[in-house]
Amino acid sequence: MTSTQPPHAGDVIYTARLIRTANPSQPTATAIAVRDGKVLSVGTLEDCQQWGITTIDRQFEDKVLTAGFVEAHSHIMTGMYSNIPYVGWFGRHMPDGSWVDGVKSTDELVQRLASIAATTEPGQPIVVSGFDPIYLDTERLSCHHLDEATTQHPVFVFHASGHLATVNSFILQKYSIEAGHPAPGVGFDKNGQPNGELREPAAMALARDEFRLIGQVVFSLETIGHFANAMRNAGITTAADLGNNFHAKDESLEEVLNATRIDSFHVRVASVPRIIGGPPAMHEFVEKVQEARTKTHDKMHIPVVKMVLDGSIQGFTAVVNWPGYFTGEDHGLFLLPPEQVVDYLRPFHQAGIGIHCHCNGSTTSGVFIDAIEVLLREHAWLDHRHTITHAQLITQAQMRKAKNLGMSANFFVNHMWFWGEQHRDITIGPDRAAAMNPCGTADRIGLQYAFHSDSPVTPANQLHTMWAAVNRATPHGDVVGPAERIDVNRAFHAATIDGAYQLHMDHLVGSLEVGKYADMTVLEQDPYEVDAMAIRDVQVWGTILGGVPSKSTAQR
Amino acid sequence: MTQAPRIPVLVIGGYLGAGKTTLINNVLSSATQRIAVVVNDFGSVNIDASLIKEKHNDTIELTNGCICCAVGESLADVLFSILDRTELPEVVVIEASGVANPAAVAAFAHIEGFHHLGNVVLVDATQALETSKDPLVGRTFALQVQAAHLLAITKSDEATDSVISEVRSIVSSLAPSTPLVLTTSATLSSLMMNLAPHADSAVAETHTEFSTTTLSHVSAQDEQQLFAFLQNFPSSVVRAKGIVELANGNRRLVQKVGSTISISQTELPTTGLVLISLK
Repeated sequence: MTSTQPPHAGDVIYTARLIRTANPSQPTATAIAVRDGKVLSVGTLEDCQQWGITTIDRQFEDKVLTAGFVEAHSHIMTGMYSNIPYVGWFGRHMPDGSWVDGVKSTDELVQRLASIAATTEPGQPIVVSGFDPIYLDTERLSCHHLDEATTQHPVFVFHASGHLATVNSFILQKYSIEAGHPAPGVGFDKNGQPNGELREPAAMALARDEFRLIGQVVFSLETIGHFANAMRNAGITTAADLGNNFHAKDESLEEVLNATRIDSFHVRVASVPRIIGGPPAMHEFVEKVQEARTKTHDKMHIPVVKMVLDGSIQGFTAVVNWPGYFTGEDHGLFLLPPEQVVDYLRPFHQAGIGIHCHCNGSTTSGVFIDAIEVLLREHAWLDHRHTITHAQLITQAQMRKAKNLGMSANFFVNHMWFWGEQHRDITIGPDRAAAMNPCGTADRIGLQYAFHSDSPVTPANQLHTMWAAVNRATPHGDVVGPAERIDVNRAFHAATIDGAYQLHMDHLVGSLEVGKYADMTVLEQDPYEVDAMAIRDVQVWGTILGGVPSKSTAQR
Repeated sequence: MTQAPRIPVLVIGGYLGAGKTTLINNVLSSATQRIAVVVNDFGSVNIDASLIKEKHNDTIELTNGCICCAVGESLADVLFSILDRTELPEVVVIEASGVANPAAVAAFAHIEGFHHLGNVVLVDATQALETSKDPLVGRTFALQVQAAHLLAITKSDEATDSVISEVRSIVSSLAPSTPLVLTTSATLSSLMMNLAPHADSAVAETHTEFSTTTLSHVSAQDEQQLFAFLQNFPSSVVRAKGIVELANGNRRLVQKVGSTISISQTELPTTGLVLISLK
């Protein structure tokens, strides 16, 4: 049989060494036909040709195509590293594809800053980001180190945690930050002189111009464009910007809609509004979301909303169940009153808008799950897919309940590599570290889950999250929580279709099925065939978005 | 200690339901000076429609010269934008969220252009016993009370004397040296905001819980002496404000909110010092 429909101009068949569809009813294929940006047919070349298509693109014949990766929790801020130099400990790709080696010592940081200073006009700010002293055994960074790099520029080093900045003496003088300064968060040395540390945003804001510069870069349209490059380079075809405010103002919404619409913007964005304000404002919030949804297009969706309930585990600000933190002081606090969570969420649940709630600690996961139970008793929306995002310390009992309520979890499994040793030795101890981001248990219980990078917190790269979930390896070669490891096939689905499901976008993206967007990740190797420890080393050629290939600019 | 003229910032904290929004409403509707109020949410602030001059995104301008700003994503950005206004407010009042630590909010009041007046933390007489023992938010409650320079037990007319006495003892054990007042929202508003010093009057006004005294012609040798003078007030003095001349002819705006004292430079004429004391 041959299709009776005539071929369209622009129809194309891509052939590949292998296509992994993330569609269990047809897991692999060798050819895929594309019409109007959608999957027309997937199978063998002969299957696809029955649509009468004569254009066959064989450029991927020796490569592996997969369902495009879906990143259900990242941030547009990822694009900021194109304008704010990265100085983290781990080497990292920048959004433009260039590679930056990690900064392994204070001396290296000073050298990096001195070379920036050499090409920066005196007086102009030098702002860098991603500094991560948790890995350094050198002396604690102070203004004196930074003064070695330059005394002619204001220098602002924004740490990876987001909770600390170190500035040079130029900045201390510029803003009269002197001995006895009353602001909490200003660090002093043993002689009572400021040491350049500014803790928390309140103290960072003392360095007004440099602090504002970060905010201006983070929310610029240029950064949104860099974000798209970074995602494409990682092979990601749908990425959530989890927690923004674009929907609230016509101007900002219009700008983002336009920025994402242009042809060179090579990723689909799930733009996710963050809940701010109080419960009385939520009805208007729902209306704004619904109105904004009428203006979206095929590369920008507003599928769910985000709420944030607590802080981070490594910052000791996540709210954790008894017996609390292993070492260090418990600073866990709710960011919204727990008894108001139901009131906040009710208007969204009743309007059929999915909710992703940031819960790092076990206590916060429990509060969110209980709130959803209340909402479901009030209003039986069975297809809600409300998602516990991060869900790092979720307990087994919580997972069973979440499963029964139809909820999902989006695990921050990259933590096992980036902070797994710190969690085992410092934050929560060996037993609970072994049960963090519990993919294995979630499978045993039947709780739906996906993976995310929280980029820029960790680099956007679903091959890395898959690798972390399969191996749970640490930088010193340990395995934290071997019983929670999963196989590569399961990990691949968590990195594609499962994220799409949580975003209520699985009818559009996440697998290669007839009628869905022709969004693919183009790989040089098959992650199923390589050694498990080499999954993260699989090379990304680029992506195909809506049938249009775009090559990665990443350099190795 | 000496600071260039800066806008004083008062932080209002306290757990959910303690009466912060009612207080903010009172402050705005009875304002006698240009106040900028920063709130979490316009939705809960009940501004009389006849008072609203203009609303633009995150700011409402009132006909009495006050503005009300929603904190949105960044308190720092709101404060920067207040400094960008052509007509600066005379005082900024920040409503901390119901779960916020007022000390963390107050940290923003040290941004150039502002100075921190103090944290007033409200404690709901009808809920405090429960909140203080709640496994989820008991610690939040304690941190809020400990961050206060002045504690105010609100809704005291809705609680029995024995409950109020229990609340007092919990609060005092958390913050033994912090002045504590028993109040209603309206009197608290006038206590915090409407301190218009009258240089020549001995006693300006009297509330049931408080008495107001004006010390005219206060002068001090220098800031150190002035500071010591204010520090030596009895603990019943919960609020003080005024402009005082130093021996060298310079003037200082002094403010006391509960346990905290701030002194800043000013060009305004001397006024004497208004003291509000617990009866």
